[in-house]
Amino acid sequence: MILITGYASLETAVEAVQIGAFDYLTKPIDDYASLSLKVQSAIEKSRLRRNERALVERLKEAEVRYRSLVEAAPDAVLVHDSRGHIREVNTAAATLYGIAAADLCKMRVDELGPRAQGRQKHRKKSGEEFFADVSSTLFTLNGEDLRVLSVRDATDQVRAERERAQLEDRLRVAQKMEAVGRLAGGVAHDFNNLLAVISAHAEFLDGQLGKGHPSSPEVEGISKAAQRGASLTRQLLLFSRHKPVAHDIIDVNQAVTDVQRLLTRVLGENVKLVASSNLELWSVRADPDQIGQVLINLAVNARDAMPKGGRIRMSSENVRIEAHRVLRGGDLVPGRYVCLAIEDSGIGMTDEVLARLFEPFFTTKETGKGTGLGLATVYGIVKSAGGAIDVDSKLGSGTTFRVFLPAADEEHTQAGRAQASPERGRGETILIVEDEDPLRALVRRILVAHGYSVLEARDGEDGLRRSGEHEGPIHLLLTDIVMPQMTGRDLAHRLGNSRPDMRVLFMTGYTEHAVVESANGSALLNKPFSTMALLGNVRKLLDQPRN
Amino acid sequence: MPRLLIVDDEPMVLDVLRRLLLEPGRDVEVASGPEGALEIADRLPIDVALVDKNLLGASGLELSRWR
Repeated sequence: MILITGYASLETAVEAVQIGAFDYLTKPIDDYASLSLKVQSAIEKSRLRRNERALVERLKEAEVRYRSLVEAAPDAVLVHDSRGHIREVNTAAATLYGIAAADLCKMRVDELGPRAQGRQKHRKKSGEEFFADVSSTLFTLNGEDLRVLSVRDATDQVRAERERAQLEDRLRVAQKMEAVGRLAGGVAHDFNNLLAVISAHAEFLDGQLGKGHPSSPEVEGISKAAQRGASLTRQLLLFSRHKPVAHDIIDVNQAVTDVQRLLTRVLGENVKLVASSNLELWSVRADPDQIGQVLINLAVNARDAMPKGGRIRMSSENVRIEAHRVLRGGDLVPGRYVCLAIEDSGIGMTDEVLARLFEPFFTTKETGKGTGLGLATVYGIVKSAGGAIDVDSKLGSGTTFRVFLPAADEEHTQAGRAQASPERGRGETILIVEDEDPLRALVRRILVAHGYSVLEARDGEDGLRRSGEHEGPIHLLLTDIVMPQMTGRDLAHRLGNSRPDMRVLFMTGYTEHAVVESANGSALLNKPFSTMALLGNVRKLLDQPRN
Repeated sequence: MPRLLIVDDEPMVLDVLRRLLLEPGRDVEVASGPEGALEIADRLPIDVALVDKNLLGASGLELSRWR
C-alpha cells in the first residue's frame, strides 16, 4: 500500500512504516517521475512479497507432508546428531520403546540399543529386549551432520524365521527317517528269508540228530543265533512299518504294571522306579507287548542316563489335543490321547543328540553297548499305533519322554490271545508259491514231514499251471505276497474262482502287508516264522468252518 | 498483470492518478471510498493500493488486507 497524505512529515513517514505501507505520497501530487517510480517499486515489492508468501506456503505444505509421512511411517523414526543425542522422533518410536516423544528427545540413541545398521537388540522402557532391524541414513541440515534412524520391530520376523528353520529341520529328519526306514525294511525282508532258512534247517538237523547227540549244542547255537537275528530284524521292521498291525484295546496302566517287576530287575539297586497310575485312564488300541517294549526301552535309556543312580518316574494321564501339534517324534492330530510320561533325573541330552534321537543306528552308548535301535523301535511302535513322542531334556537336569497314544473308542476289553498248537496234517494238499527256492524247499520239507501233500510253484503263472494240472482238491494255497509279475493276492483271487473252498495263507517279510482280509478263509504269516507258527496257522485255517 | 487500486474521495485526484499510472501490462482500478474499495478488493487481487490517509481505519479499510 502506498499512503497518500496531505503533509510530508517525519511523523507520516514513521506512521507509514509502522502500519506496513511500502511508501507514502504527499498531496498535491506533482512529482510524476517520483510517483511512477514509487508505484513501480511498490508493485515490485508486492510481487516479491507474494512470491515469498507462496514459497513459505509451499514450505509449510512440504513440511506438513513430510511430517505426516514420517508420522504415518510404521517404523520408528529417530533423528539424532553425531553424538547420538536424539533430536526428533515419530509416534511409532514412542510406541515401540514405550517412551513419550518428548522424553525420547532427551535421550541418547545408545540408551535404546546399538545404532549401527543391521539387526540389533534394543531395549524398551520396561527393560524388555527385542530384535530391531535398524537402518541409518546420513543427512546434513544447516551444515550439521544428522542421522535418520529407522527402526523396525523384528520380533515376529525372527520368530517366523526360527519356526521355519525348525520346520525345515523336522522335515529333514522325517525324510531321513523315512529313507532309513525303507532301507532297513528292505534289508530286513531279505534277511528274514535267510534267517528262516537257517533256523528251519537247524530245526531239521536237530530232529534228525535226535536227543542227546554230541553235536546238538552246536545245532542249538545255530538256532539261537538265528533267533537273535530274527529279533533284530523284527525291531527293524517295527521301525520301518507304517500301517497298524492288529492291535488290541489295552489298559496302559496294566501294561505299566506288567513290566514293572521286570523293570526293577533290569534297572538295578541304584535306580528307583516310581510309577503312579491314573485310574480314570482311557484305553488305547495297541499291542501290549509292544507297549511293554516301549516302556522297557525308555526305562533302560533313563537308567543309562543316570550312571550314579537316581529316580525314574512313570505316570499316565488323559490328554485332549485341540490343535495339530508337531512334536520331536511325530505329529499329533486333534483328539483324545493317553500320555505316558517317563521322567529321569539323569544327565540330559544336547540339542545335537535330541535332533537325531529316533534315527536308527544312532547311539551315544559305547560301541557294543547299544544297537541304536532302541528309540527307533519306540518311535516305530508309537507311530504305527497312531501316536507321537515328545521329548524334553536339559543337560544336567534330566529328560522326560512323553508317549502319546490315541485313545480307543471302545471300552477296555481283555483280549484273549489264542496260542496256535501245531498239529499234524491229515493228507491235505497244499500249493506252495514262493520265488525263493531255498525257502520254498524248506517249507515243503516241513509240510511233507508233518503229513501234508505238497505242490510247488516258483511264481504266480507257475502256480496257475500247477493248479490246472492237479485234478484233486487243493485245500490251501501258501503264497508269498511280493513276487515278480503276479502278486500273491492276484494269484489267490484267480485261483479262488475255480477253487472256492481253497484256504489262503499269505507269507510276507513286510509288516506293511499286515492287514489282510482274514475273514475270507485267509490269513497272514510273518517271515521269518518258526515251524510251530507255520504248522499252527496252516492247521487253524484248514480247521475253520466253511461259510 | 499487476493491478493497482487507487482510493481517494477526490474525483479529480482519482482521475489524474488513474491516467498517470495506467500503462500497458498494468490494471488500474479506482474507488472513491472504502465501500467501493472493499468491493473491488473482494473481487480482484490487488497488488498495490494507493489510499488516502484520511480514509484509512475509519471504515474497515485496513492495511492488512493488502499486506
